[in-house]
Amino acid sequence: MNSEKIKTLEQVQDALSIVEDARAAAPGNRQLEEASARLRKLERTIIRAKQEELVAALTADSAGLKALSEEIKASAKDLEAAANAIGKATAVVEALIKIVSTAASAGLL
Amino acid sequence: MKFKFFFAASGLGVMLMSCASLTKSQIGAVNQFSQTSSNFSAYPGKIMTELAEIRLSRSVYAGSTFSDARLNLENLDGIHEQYTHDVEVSQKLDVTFKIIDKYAQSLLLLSSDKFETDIEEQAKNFGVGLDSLITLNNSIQGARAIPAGIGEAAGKLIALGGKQYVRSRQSKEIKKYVAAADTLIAIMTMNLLEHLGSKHLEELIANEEKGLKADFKTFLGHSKSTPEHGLAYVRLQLRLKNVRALQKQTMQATKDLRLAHKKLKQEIEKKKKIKEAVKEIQTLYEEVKEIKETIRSIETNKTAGK
Repeated sequence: MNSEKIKTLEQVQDALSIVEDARAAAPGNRQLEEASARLRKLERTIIRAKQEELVAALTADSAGLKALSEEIKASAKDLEAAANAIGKATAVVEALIKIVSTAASAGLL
Repeated sequence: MKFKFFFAASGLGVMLMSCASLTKSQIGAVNQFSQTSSNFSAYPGKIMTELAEIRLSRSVYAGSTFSDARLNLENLDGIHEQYTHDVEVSQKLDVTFKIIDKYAQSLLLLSSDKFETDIEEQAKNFGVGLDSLITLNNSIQGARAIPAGIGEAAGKLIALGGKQYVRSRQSKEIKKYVAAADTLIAIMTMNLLEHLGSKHLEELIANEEKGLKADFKTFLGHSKSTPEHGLAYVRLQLRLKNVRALQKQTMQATKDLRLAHKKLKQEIEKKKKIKEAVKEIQTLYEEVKEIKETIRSIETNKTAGK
């Protein structure tokens, strides 16, 4: 069997099918076991190549959205700070009213 | 004094109501979209991890039929190396998918009603505090009585002004970011669709479909079959079937995600209430629900197979 001619996963599966049928007919045959192991190694090599291509195709163009997400998060933080500032301003007004109310009760107003 | 206070508070309220805000339903639609899309990365990534685990199982079954110990060990080392690589690939792909999650999660944060609720809570406390002070003041003998109930009214005014201000800022930011992200979402979903429908992914799935059958045939031809082996095979077949379903559903959800974001952008550009839930977001939600169901089914077969 010439494994150099095998390029696709389909070809690997076809070759494996032939080898495994032969192995089933001749259990323990060293040569057939070697052929099966070699084909399985080849299958893994082709799988890796396909995976690498899948990764390369996807990782492009993702930086823009990543940067934008960071900006949005920062904006949400700013907005939270603004809401807190309004709360603080409320507390200041509250203190002022307390002073006015105390002054009024003391007859100063 | 009562009138002066009301005048000042009303003035503050009017001053804070500045640029055109999004309506509550518009912000709600942004929030709904974000919630539905915030864990999107789990779906395409699951296809790759499932394929890796199925491959690992079937390869170990087939490899165990080698009578030569050296060959058996070499094969097991190769399987281990491949699985490590599979995990690395999944992680690399996950990083890309997680960018969509990250965008949705940050949008979720930005469209939260927490900012308004916080102000409402603070203003309510303020009103209650003010009313207690007035009651205290009025109880002092000889003190000039201040009209009761003014605290609640003042609190409401402050809440209104504060909420308008926060919503106006929130709206401005949401409009800016959703518009800016739309092109990026278009590119990313297009890439994702290419990935999910690619020849390479198709070949990887088809290889597992063929390989699983072939490897179990090899195993059964060399070993005594037990019901456990049979069950393991059936469970792996079910998981593989779910990978196919997941691929199809994720492709549909990716298309829906693109449409929903586009529609969202259009809806928040209009200056009116969204009377009905945005149909596209609803469709995306339904699709994501189906995907979650498929993943749950995968997990059930995985756990039961252990």
